[in-house]
Formats: sequence, C-alpha cells, structure tokens
Amino acid sequence: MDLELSAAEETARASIATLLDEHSPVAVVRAAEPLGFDPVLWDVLFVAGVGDWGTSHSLGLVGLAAAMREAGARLTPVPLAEHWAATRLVAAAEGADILAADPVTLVLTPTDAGSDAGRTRLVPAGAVAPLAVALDGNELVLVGPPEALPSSPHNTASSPIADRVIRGPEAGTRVVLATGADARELHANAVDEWRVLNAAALAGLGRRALELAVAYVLDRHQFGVAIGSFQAVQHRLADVVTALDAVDLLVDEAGWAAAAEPPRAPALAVMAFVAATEAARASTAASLQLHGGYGYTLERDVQLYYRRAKGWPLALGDPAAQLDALADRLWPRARPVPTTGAG
Amino acid sequence: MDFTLGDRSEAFRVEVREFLAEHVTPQVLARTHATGTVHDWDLHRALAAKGWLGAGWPVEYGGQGRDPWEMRVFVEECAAADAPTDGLSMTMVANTLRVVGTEAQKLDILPRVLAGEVLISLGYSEPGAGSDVAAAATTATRDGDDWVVDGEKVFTSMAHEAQYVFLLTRTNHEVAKHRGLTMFLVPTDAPGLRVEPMWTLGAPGRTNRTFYDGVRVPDALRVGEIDGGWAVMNVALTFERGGTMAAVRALDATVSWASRLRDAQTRAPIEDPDVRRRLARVAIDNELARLLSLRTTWVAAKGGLPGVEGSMAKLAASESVQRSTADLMDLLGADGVLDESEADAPAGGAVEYAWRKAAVATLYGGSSEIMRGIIAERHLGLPRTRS
Repeated sequence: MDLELSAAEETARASIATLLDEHSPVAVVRAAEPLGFDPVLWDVLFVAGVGDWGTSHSLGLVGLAAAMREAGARLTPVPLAEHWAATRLVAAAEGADILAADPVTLVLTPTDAGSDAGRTRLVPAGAVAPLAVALDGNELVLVGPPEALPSSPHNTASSPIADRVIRGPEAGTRVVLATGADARELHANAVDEWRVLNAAALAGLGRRALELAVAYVLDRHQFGVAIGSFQAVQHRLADVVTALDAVDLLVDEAGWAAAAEPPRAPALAVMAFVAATEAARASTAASLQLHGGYGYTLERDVQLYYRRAKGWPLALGDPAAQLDALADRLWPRARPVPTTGAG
Repeated sequence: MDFTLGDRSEAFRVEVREFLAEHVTPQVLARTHATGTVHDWDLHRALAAKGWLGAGWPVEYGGQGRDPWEMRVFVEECAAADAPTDGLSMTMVANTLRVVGTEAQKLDILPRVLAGEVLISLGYSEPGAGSDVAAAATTATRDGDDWVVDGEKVFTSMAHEAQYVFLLTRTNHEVAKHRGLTMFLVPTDAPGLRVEPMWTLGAPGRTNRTFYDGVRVPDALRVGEIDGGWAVMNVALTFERGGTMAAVRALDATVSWASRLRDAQTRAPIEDPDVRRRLARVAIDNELARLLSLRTTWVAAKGGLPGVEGSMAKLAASESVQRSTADLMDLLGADGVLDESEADAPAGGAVEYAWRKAAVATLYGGSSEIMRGIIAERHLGLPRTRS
C-alpha cells in the first residue's frame, strides 16, 4: 500500500494549486456568479496546459482527482471535471486527443434516439462548452458547436448548467465516436470518471468549509471563551474531519482502481460520489451553523460552499438513486437485455 | 497510490484462513457465545504452536517478525472468522514488557506468553476512573520487598482465565494524578485477590470486577519506575491496535438472507429497492471504515505512530458498526429479534449478535467522546478541554 501521489501527480497538484491561488481567489468566484464560469480563468489554465491534463499519460484519474480537490477547495469557476472526463472519453474512443481551446462537456444522461428530440435537461457546463460528448441511443457522439450556446437558468450552485440539443440542425456538427456495446461501455466509464472527479471536488470543497469553520470558532469569543473550546462544537467538527479524511481515501482508491483493479472500479466510483456528497454537505452545514447568524449572510464565504455542496451532486439527480446504482453493481440482478436503441 | 496489501500478506491471509477454518469450529463458537468468554485454550495453544502468538514480535524475542501488513491481515481474518481471540489480544501487554520490563520479567514471562500458557488481563478501569483513568485510586503501599495492594477494578476482562493482572495503582498522593501511578503484574492466585463476573449485553458476554484486599506483590513484579506508571501505560497504548471492525460479517449475513425466497414470498428481499439502498449504504460505511483503518497500518508500517489516525479509524468504525448493525437488524423484520439459539433466527442470528456486540464498540479502547476530543485538539488545533 502507498497513499502518496507519484512525483508527476504531486507536481500537477502543486502547480494547479499555485495557479488557482493567484487566479481564482474568492473574489473571482463571486464575480463569476451567477453563471459560474470565468472565461479569462479558463484561458489562463488552458495556456498553462491544464486543459490537456485529461489525456496526459503521466496523470491518470488519481492525479486528476488530486487537481480537482484543489479546484473544489477554491470553487474554481471552470468546468474541469466535465472537460477532463469528456476529453478522456474522446481519446479512449478515437485513439486521438481532441483539439479544443474551449471546454468540452459530458452529457451524463443517455438520450433515447427513438422517443425524444435529442434534448437533455441541465447538462453540466452546458452553457459554456461548445462541444459535448453524449450517448445518443446506440451512438456515442461528439456534437457542436451549436449556433448559439444556451443560457443557464439561475440555480442554487451558480453552475453553468443548461439544456442541450444533441441531434438535428440545432446541435451543430455530429461525429459518431463509437456504436453499440462499445459506445455504452465507454460512456458509462466516463460517467464513473466524472463521479470520481466530482467526488474529489466535493472533498476539497468540504475540507475548505471545515477550515473556515475552524478559523471562525478559534476567533469567535462568547461567554468569555473561544467557542471552539466548547465540546459541542469540537465534537461536531471532529466528526466532519473524520468523514472528510475517509472520503479522501475513498476518492483515491476509486481513482487507483480505475487503472489497477477495473472490476472494483464501478462500485468504488459510486461509493466515492455518495460519500463525498454527504461529507461535503455535513461539513458546509456544520460550518454555516458554527458561523452563527453570520453564516446565513451573503457577505460570509461559507454560503458559497453551502450552496455548491447541495447543487453540484444534483447533476446526476437524486443522490439516493446513486445507492440504487451502487446496489446494482454490488449485487447485480438478472434483468432484460436492453433492446437496440434503448440506451 | 497502491491499495493492495502485497503478495506476502495475501499469501499469509490464505494460511491464516485455512488454519482458522480448521480450528474455529462451530463447537468452539457455540462455547464462546454461551460462556461469554471470548477465548479458547485449545485454539490459543494451536496459535502458539504456529508461532502466531508472537507473529509480530521481533525474532530475537521468539517472534516471527511479521510486518504490520501481515499482522493486519491476521486480525482481519480472525475478525472474519469470529475467532475468539481476547486471549491473543493480551499479548499486547507482553509487548509492553518487552520494552519496559526487567530482564528477569522478560525471561520468566515472555516465553510462557508465547507458549500459550500465560494470559495477562488489563487492570486499568475502576468504579471512579473510566475515561479519566489517571484518577485510579487502587493503592500500592511499600512494605519491605513487597507492595500491598488495596482497591477495586472493573472491566478486568479475562481475569478469570488469566495468570496475571496488569495493574495500574496509585503509589503517590502528593503529586499530580498522572505522576503518582505505578504498574504491577499481580498474579491472579495471590491471596486477597478476588474475581467476580460482570455479565454484558454481547461479546464478550463476561467481563469482571476484581477486588484487592491486602494483596502482597513482590517488588520484582513492578513494571517500570515507581510513580512511572503513566509512561508504561502510554507504551502499552502504542501496541493497542484498532481491532474495531465495521459491519462486514453482518452485511454478508444479511445479503445472504435477503437473497433467498421464504414461504409465501414472491420475490426475495434483495429485489426490494429500499432493502438495496440500505445494504448499499452499509457497504459504503464499511469501505470508509476499512480505509481509515488501512491508513493507520500504513502510518505504522512507515515507522510512524498513528495517534490521531488511530483515533479517527476507531471513531468511524465503531460509530458505523452501531448504525449499520441496527439498520440491518431492522431489515430482518419481526424475526430480527430472534437470537442465535433459535434454529429459525434470520441470518443464523448473526445480525442480532453483531448488533448487541456493537454497543460496546464506542466505549472500549477510548470512548467516542474521548476520540472526538483527541481529534479536535490534535488534528484541528482546538483548545484542550480536559486536564
């Protein structure tokens, strides 16, 4: 067992941390609201090569997850998880890297070629990514750019989500990357990678929310003492940090298994996503509560974390349904084989 | 990153599993569950014959020098087999003797421990000193070459089988409470020492009260310095490995139960979406607990002392095993209350048994409240609240 990053992974993690400290302070996060995308920051990262990390041979999912933790901790308003998951998927399908200076996104929910109009609700980064990879019935496709990017509805997390059309004249150029079982397998794998990357972002978010809480309870005095000296406060934060440490390990294990133990990887990806969702929500809820009334105000940063911990995981729908997905991976059921076009 | 335990550990796992399959028979399990004594002398001597009582000890002390990964695998397999190893876990005290004992103590006691002839029970807790163990009031008073011990200990588990009690006593009332403590090895057959059972909810079903009424202990059985008992206890604590396991056995038992059709059912419980979600949640909690525990081993294997990491692993595993076994027992429905003595108990009563056993997990080896305090102070840097 080894719980440390490789030299290449650590270099990547440290370099994105440095870049984000400079270019993605909380003022940038606030200025990017409500859309939740900063094109200048995207260009900075792209010029630094971060956009290509998804297909870098030296990083892999563990290194990308380490980078996502740093991005999540800073609520960085660029869609790195979607971009990396999508570009990795294109590389896996085509055997070639995608050349795109703009974000590429991954449509998480498969569409049914037979019965819908090729419109998908609330695609992550749908409002800012000209290109999208989607599973449309039996086909894995790369579509875009559309004539105009759709606008993003106002939402809890200030995420650049938007409905996307992946078929027909509105969708833009459409390239089929794979078909049939290959297409489904590639897409399912990419969604699992997205789960791991988002779990990492949520782990980073939760860690930073905890740090805000610790700093506050050490500074805030009531009844003549720092409120961090009260056991009711201490014990809640001890539970939060224990859950976050466990999630960090699970995210790393899920990233590791993707390459090293593929049979376990699908279950671990869902586990990491569920556990990170819960730990991030518990951390932000504790942080808000321990900030007292100030935690409820927009002037304090904790609200930025609280909203995103709630909103980010909903990109995959009700988190309880993730438990269904996990159960199906741990205890498979005999089920009818999907007919052609059923997705 | 690497989450495998290594080929050598996995090979050892196979060897341990085969040994336990042979020696931890249904009769042994039935006996330990019925008596509440989670120890079996035949199994203990068989472990001794394999050299496994000292599996992790250095070779020069008669051990096998196995690394922390092999030892972890050993503990995992013992837990998976529900092997009665309360006696085995007492080699922790002997480990302490190896570090702080006199040459005479080492020569006399260590070989007998490794041979499976001697068990040493822990005599720390008292009616008035639980989490605040340094408040111990049992006294040892010097009298020539002997000490005279008077007092009462509680939760002296295995004292009714052990040859010695590793006893924390007060030898100095004039100094701060941590500085007036001394440790002794007290023979359980010494006149004036009395053992009474305390029966518990689960496993071990029996622990003890021990009473000390003018018990004479030779100075040769003092461990460490006079008034240096706190330092000795801290050595012992470093050998205390988090043996708390998540609800792995209970989950397996419930999944097996849920996968079968019963009378008048048209579908097995595992087809029910609510059941599936609840089982999935337990699987997540088990994995989180396993990883925190693995991290503790990793720190130890690198030569570190997993203090805070150990507290986090213990807290997470013990809290989750309570939550998980409670929910799994509910899943079994009305039959969930049947215990293992009933032939038709669901999952053989394993879940009900695990649920009762789990109640103590958040208490022994440092309660959850103590663990949270340690994590808050040492990991988060919050102010100390205890003295």
